Amino acid sequence: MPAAIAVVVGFVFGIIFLAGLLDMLLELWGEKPLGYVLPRWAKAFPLYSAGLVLVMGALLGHFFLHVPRP
Amino acid sequence: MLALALALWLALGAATIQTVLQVRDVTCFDDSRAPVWPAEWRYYAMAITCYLAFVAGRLTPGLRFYAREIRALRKTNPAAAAAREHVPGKAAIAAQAGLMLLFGLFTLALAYEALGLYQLDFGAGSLHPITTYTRCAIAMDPVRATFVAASISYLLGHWLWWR
Repeated sequence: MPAAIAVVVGFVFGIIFLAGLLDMLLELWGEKPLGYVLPRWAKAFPLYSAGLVLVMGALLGHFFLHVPRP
Repeated sequence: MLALALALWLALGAATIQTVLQVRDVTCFDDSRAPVWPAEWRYYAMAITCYLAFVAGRLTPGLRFYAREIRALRKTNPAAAAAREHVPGKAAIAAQAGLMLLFGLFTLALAYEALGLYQLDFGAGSLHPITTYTRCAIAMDPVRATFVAASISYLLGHWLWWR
């Protein structure tokens, strides 16, 4: 079981690290970073972005707050 | 500052994996009959922390280098600022590729979750859903688990709350 938990932990940390790295590299290259481009996309497609936030929020709630009966 | 945050994030990830691999006695739950409202206060604290991180993500883009640069340019040269605000092709493609990657990973994660649930409910294999592993992680280290959930919430507010 610990190895499987380690894979999940590595996956979560890895994804966020890669996204942050891409964000930083774009800024270093003088390009618009994700923090600039994604909100513009969200503004252009508010329903899509609201839906995405809803799905992500539901997943977070499910993964982190969905606890069994004591 | 972002590089420092990324280095710290990487170190935290490595330390967490190390901790997980060394743990010998961990409480894991497969029981999916969870109550709608959790009984323990710490789950509400986690939810509130995530919500605050989401709002913080919305409020902090103004501190980023590019935002400060454009703000300063607007004062001196509005035309140059408008040109600077234009999103060039490379960044747009990178953002779209990032979004596609994100959706692809969600699909994989949900497919694995479905397979884990199927195998668990029908006794058809040894896989467990991702929820089981996150429950183990929360049981092992609730503070770090809250930090990770809050970090994801922060990024959601930072990237997807339009302005």
